[in-house]
Amino acid sequence: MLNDKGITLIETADTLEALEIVGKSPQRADARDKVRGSAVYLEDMKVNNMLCGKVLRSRYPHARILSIDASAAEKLPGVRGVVTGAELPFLHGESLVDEPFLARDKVRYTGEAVAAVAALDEATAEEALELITVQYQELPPLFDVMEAAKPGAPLVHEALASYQHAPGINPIHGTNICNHFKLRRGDIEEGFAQSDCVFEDTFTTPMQQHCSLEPHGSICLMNHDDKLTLWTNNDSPHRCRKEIASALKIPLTNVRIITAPNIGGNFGGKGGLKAEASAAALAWKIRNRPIKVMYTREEEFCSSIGRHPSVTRIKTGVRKDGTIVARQVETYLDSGAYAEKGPTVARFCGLSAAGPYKIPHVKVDVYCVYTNKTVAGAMRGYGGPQGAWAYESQMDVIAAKLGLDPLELRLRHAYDEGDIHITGQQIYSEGLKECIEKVAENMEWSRPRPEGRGRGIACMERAVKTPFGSAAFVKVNEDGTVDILSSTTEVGQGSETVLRQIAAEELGVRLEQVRKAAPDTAYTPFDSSTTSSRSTFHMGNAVKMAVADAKSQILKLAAPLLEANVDDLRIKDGNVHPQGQPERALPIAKVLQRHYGPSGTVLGRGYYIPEMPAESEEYYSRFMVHWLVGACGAEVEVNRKTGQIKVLKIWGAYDAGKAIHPVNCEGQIQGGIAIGLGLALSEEVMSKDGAVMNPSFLSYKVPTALDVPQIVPIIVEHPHPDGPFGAKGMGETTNVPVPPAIANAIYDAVGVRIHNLPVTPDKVLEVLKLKAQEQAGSRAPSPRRPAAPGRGK
Amino acid sequence: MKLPKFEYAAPESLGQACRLLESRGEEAHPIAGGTDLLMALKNRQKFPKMLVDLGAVPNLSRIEYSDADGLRIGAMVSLRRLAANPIVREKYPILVQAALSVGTVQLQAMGTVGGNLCQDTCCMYFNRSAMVRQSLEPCHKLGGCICHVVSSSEECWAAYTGDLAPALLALGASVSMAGPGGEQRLPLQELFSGDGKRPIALRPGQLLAEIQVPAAPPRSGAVYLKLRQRETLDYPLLGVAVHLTLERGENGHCKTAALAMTAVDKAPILLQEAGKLAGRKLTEAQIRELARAAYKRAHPMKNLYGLTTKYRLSMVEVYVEMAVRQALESAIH
Repeated sequence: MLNDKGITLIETADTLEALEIVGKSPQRADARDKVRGSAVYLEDMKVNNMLCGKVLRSRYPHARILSIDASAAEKLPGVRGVVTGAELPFLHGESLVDEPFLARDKVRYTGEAVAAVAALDEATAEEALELITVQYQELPPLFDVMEAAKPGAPLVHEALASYQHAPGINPIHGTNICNHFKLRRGDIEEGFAQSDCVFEDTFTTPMQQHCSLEPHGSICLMNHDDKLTLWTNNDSPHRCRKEIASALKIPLTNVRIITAPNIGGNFGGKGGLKAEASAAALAWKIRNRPIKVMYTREEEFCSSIGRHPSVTRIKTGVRKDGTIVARQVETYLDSGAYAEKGPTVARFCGLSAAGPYKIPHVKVDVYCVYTNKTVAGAMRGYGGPQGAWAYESQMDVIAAKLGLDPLELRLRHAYDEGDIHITGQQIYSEGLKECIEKVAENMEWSRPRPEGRGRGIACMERAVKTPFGSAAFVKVNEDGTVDILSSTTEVGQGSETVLRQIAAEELGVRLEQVRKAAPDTAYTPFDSSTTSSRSTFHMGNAVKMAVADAKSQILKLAAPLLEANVDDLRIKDGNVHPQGQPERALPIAKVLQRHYGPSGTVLGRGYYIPEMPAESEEYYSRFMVHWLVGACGAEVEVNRKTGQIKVLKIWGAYDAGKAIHPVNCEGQIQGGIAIGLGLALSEEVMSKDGAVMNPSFLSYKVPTALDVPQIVPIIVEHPHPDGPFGAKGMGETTNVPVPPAIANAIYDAVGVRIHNLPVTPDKVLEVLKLKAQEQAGSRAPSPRRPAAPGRGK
Repeated sequence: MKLPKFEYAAPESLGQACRLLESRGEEAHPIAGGTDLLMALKNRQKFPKMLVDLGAVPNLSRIEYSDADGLRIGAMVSLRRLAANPIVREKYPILVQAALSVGTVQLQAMGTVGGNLCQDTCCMYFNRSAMVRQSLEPCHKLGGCICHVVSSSEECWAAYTGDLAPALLALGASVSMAGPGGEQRLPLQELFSGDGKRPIALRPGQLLAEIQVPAAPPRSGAVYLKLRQRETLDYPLLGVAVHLTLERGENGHCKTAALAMTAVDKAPILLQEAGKLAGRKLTEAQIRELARAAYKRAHPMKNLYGLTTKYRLSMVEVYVEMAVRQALESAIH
């Protein structure tokens, strides 16, 4: 299937043109219910006899738990039980198993779950929390990621060496580093020796929060035979099942995960165990009662996860003509108190830390470091935004210093079809250059801007998690309609619609005849996760394979009825007919009826896992089944008196391979750019002594609809040889290049380079004032404004 | 977070409401739109045993205007109704600016003029839920004896962040307070105590009933500018209101000038120095002098989320100059 040698298209241009459903933008499967307000979310789900669970949280960032007295809470009328960490000798975690269900022995961050209460109603549960007394002994906390990374720093996890972890994860025992990711190519010292100029910069990013409108929630029921059912808004039911079963040391079949039909936003935040852990802890103690835990908005900010804050030192060696010969990147990701997805975020950050560029000498080190702060985890871009902020900001620093056009500098180094990636993989199906060019063309890159205005561009790449599998079943029913059984979750990204389109196209039935079931691990087959922009590609392939399997069975049944060879049969609009003879059509329902009477059904199955070149034993392969690529441009206006930044317009071009649902792809671009805009200009989880200071939509400055400027979404299509109809993922690319594009535009407008996100007016004004002072001081020789890079070309 | 339990009363006259509030003393709290109070209850910042709903009190929702008496706004007029009123739109556009800069559309629909004026002061250490606050010692406002903004201070340094107050102060508004001792009319600035723990100078049993704004004179212009990070939702990090009236004739002499600020002290500031401009021609030098005076009077603290205190202070002069120029422009045209 896959080879390293370039494109061999499975879909020819002819078949792509003949598509009837794929590539159109039919009404989304969830649109009508969502508009009516009748779409079902976890909050709407109630189970008979259900209790309400609430969580007591740590008030200290780092403290030993000396005692917990819950006796008064247990006696409160309406309370059905209190559970503490000491009762649950289990740890969970995806790639590094380090997190208790409730804190045991010590708390590692302010907001960590210490005990949980189940009561008949929410008010009683909240009241009971106030009756629990916990005695702590404070321990020295670590808030600074660079301090925490030093040898000899106090340890957040003394037992790091004993934790289980996936292959390819490299914790450094005796330190707070839970993964050290390394990438080497060429000889970095040799590269710097060959360079005429060496650029060294440090860039930082803050914690960003997902701000899903729907908070985390779960209902858990466990019976006396250790059979556990969990209704949840987790993004990946099979991954969730595995994590719970492994932690509780029970077989997979003892755990049933039922995902809510709709999840109100994910952006990476709904993986792992959050409300799931608290609900499961309560259910583990209080058997035979379903217990629901819904996070508050404050718990979302303080006790779920956010994007890793980061510090990146980037050093780049360049020849006078602008050729980049060496790049060294050292990134510290602040993981907070637990590893969560941090070790693999570090990996993905590192894989793309040098940017999507041909550079002969590269050295990358990414450290994922424990501190006593809110846990960081997966968030849209998965290490990409931290990396891109550094490498794409520095590209413009280099261009400005050498008097080069930032656009030209990027195009000169961007990967092309057939190039060797710094990981050693040969690049194929690469739409990066086209993305950059499309943005430049749409934003009229060379058009001079008036004083105070500027434009910037940035591009990006990101790996797709590889190799992981996805499976699907399809049931063709007696009336010719189709049910898809797939564990891909609908988190608002539109997967349900896209999978229905793929199934309808492949079988040759109308879209309305296809339905997709909500995930339930008891019925819907394995899928590794709804993450990493992998669903359209992986699950799309699985559904397509399952439908192809069902279709071949239908055609076999139809062949004798139509007195034709199987190979000559086609299906269109739900009717089977010999090629070129649509008048001899026989509906699928009839075909099934003739063979099976009223019991007609055909079952198809599909399992897709990318075929890997023979290579290492690593958990994540070096080879990526595809790379996500894209580019973004921004035009801004900066007020020199106030430092205020007005983003006038943003252009975003991203490679979707083949857009199954173009309007949905545009929605992904719009939403992603809004997330990027927030990180660029205003979003920052602020903490004092480890406590989150702004855990609300009032105090955390996520952009509102009024703050988002006009966005021009541009879909680039470089078909993937193995993608369903050529499709690749694209949702997680869209936010990544936005902050550097905006920062580069600010530099173009007023010559100010900010290294620390978010770029707020106070930071801009401070630099503007400093520059004005410097200019006033050095007025004697002819004062030179920094050259506006690439201007007027 | 659930609301705590409380008694609820909905008196049908102003007198009844005042008597009820007086008899219950500190235990009772009036509620108008509830947009400020209900969050304080959910966050366990305030603990009233009884809420006295003013929704059923008649005559508190009127907007009246006459050239002789000017504008009279009932305390229960919602911010959106104020902004939609044709007279207000025509004669007091600064009130429309200020009302529509509050919170969100939904909050403007529920929030009232009286409630907006009487809102509690804000502090990032105080305006959080009990769950999040537990990691810090209780501050002055919660009955403790520490201020997290100025750790050595014996007083509370929360900021007054109402948007309507500076606009109304610049317009020279007064307020009527109903109470056990009968109705009392005061200049608006006397509503604000400057005490962070108890920022509104209403005694138990006293209610803000009406706001009066003098008739809009000809050749006047008024502007409210708000420093914020987003186009909606945010409290001001600085708010500047300027109201100018020009003398007849071409020379542009100032007849009256008023400047008020919000979010840079424990109470809204009505800058006395602005009055000195009366009778003088507004030159660049005078605008700068006024801006300098405002800068000296402003006292932003690290008590609000977002931009640095240093930046907020440095914006005082910039915003005052912008506001004066815009007010002048609108007075001329």
